Amino acid sequence: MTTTPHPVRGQRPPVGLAVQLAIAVVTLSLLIRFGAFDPAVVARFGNLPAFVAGMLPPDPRPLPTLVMSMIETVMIAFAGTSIAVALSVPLALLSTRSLFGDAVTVPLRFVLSVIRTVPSIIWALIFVVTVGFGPLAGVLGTAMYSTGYLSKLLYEAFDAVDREVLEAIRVMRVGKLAEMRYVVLPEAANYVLSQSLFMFEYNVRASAILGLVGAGGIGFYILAYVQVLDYRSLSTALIVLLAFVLAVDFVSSRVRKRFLPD
Amino acid sequence: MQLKLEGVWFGYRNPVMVLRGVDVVFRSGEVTMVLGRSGSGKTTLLKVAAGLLRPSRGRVIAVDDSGEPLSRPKIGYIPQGIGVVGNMTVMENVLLGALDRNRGLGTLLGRFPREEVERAEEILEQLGLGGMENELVRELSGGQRQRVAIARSLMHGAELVLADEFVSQLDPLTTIEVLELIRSLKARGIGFAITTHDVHLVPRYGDKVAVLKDGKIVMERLASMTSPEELVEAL
Repeated sequence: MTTTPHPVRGQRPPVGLAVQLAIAVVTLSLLIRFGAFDPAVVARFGNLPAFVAGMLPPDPRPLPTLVMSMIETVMIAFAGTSIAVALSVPLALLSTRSLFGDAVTVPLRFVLSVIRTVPSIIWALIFVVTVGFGPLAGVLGTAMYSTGYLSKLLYEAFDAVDREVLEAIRVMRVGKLAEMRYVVLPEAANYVLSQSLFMFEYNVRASAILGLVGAGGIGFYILAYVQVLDYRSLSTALIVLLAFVLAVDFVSSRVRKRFLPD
Repeated sequence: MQLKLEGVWFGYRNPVMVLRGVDVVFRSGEVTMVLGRSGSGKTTLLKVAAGLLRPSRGRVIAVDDSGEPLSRPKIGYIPQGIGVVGNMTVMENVLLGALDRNRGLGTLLGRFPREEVERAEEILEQLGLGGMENELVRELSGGQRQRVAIARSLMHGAELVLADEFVSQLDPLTTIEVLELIRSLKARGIGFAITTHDVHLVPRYGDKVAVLKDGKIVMERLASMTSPEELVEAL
């Protein structure tokens, strides 16, 4: 067997060594610029073992409070995701190019893009100012960001629905609502469910830090323990967070397997 | 009913024209085979005929038997990939054919009048799909999906069905079954325009053949007056 010494015609060459080298050089220069190799900074890495040692053993006393606050975090994520799904489906349908023209889809896609450019924690901060401290601000913040994000995932899925199916129905002049109800939604239903579950998992993790801005959940305690240097309680909070996130991921993956056999 | 394409030109990107002055007539009660090589414009021709694409020049007009124009002709369209909704049941797919006459909240919620459901059951029975109402379409064989697509067109009340490469992906036995079914529907007054590149199907199942080459109809005659050899030459 012989090997081909030169790229085959029509075959794209692999990313060149020069490009890989250039990326490495840029990354290294950024690390230098950010002080990663500054001796004073390097010396501070010595604090890490002391910090970890200070977290052990975890303090069990705040456990009931932390579990309750984590349940609140999951509820914030659930309510926020549910609102987002309810808003995203119609918004994504209106943003679908195979259903509507540029006059509708382009401005709507732009608005959705603006919404998702703002992270959920900033939305939560805005709602803390609007509705006050507490989980409601967290729910609204989560819902806003998720609506922007989920709508994009969904309109891309709706656009990917086989055009031929849509055309076969369109010839019968059944109207846009029927096209959505009987072609786009059933064909993309599995994807809608899958992405909604993914969004919920993501929001459980994201909601954990909403407490940092006073929007409810376990984040409030995490911030408080860091500020008062109570690292043992902090480690308890992180264990509770980890346990809930793993549990939600597990349940979510089981639901996905149940409903999405493919 | 007759669906007439008169001097139809069409291009996806001007100035490259896929159809260049096509004149052809599809009639109910008649099977027209549109023969052409890959890339000859067969799919585009059917899409223009179905009203999915607007001609750049020329016109598509539907008229009744007395020559009066029809504003809402009953046309069915079956694309190359069959165009059935895989995640819905056979019954749900067939009922889609009744949507244009049953608009409203009820049908959007999935509720159809009893007589429409009974009509759908009758059609499914006629097409050999009786008892399969609750099967998911994505789990059916290719031949069964073709029947579901035909059933949906019948439910719509189509007098003419435009079918793109309708039997190209079926095995020979299923192809014959489906074409025999089309023959029996023709006897009931339903017309078909079927695109194909299989010259052997034309004399056996077509009443008329139109050969499309480079966006033009280069031959149009009775299928019984042609031989596969002549058709190959025309291609």
